[in-house]
Amino acid sequence: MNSKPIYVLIPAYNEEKTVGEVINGLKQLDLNLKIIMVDDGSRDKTAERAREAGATVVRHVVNLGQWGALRTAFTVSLLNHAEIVVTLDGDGQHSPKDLPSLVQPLLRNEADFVIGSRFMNITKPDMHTYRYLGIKFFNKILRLNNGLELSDCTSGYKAYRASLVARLLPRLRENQYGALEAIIQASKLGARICERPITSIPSEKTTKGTLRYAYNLLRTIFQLVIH
Amino acid sequence: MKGIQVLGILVMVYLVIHTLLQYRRGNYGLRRAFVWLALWLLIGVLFAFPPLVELVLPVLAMQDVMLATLVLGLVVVYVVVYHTYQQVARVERKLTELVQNMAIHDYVKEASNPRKEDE
Repeated sequence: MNSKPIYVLIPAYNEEKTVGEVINGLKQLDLNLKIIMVDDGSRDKTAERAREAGATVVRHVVNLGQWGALRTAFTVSLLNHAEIVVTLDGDGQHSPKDLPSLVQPLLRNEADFVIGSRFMNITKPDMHTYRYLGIKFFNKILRLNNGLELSDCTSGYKAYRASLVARLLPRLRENQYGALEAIIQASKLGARICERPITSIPSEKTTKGTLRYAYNLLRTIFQLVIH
Repeated sequence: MKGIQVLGILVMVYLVIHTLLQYRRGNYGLRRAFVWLALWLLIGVLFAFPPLVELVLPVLAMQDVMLATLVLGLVVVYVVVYHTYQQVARVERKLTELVQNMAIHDYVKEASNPRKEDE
């Protein structure tokens, strides 16, 4: 495995119940990891739980949104001269056990950007049908707009080459709905993008799959098209 | 004078007083207060003397005073909404930058001077 640390970035907002477990799960992996948790203005003890579990905590004084927190985390990882960066949610829906397979394409220099897909190699996804159809719809838009063949474009479990993150960061604008923006901008930068299968435990808290989420993803695509 | 004219003039008087108060409290600068006052006074005068709209009818290539008023009003609303959208987006960008810079500043400071319990 790579001797340089892999930076694991966790944006979290009011995740005191799950964030410690996520960090402990990561620490059990036989990998050189640096875990950075961005507490995105939580009103509970998310930061304390993360610090107790051994993560480096960076705090936003107010809530910006998942991608606002991720942009801060990206900057911190670049300040630390990271080479590989992984992002995952703090609500426990992503399994730390999938991390090694997610970073493999980067370590083998086969890709610059790896998306953890919940739908590869499965026939029946564990989520509401309307949400699954929504994700398929956005996959299709990315195929038509950018020629990308993806099965799970809204996944939050991703691995990036840090050199790509450095070029990507100035192009990211969204604070909350940045999933598609990151993929589209990475594609425009000529990044090699691929997917790896991951397991996912559905989170009750997620707002993904709501009409508002779908509207904002469409808005993001529209803004990128007119820019 | 019709009821709608009286209502329009009263609303404009309220907005003029509100703008003057904002200026007096220092919330508006002279330029901003002047722009808003000019707009309210202009709309107030048009409410008081609707035939004045007829002066711009040939320019707009319209015949109906009511329709011309509505179109002009909509144009003003579009401009104000667009301006407000830009301002909100600018403030949001600034706020995001500020929050992120504060977080990174604190992180760098803490990384260079680690807490005792972390040592």
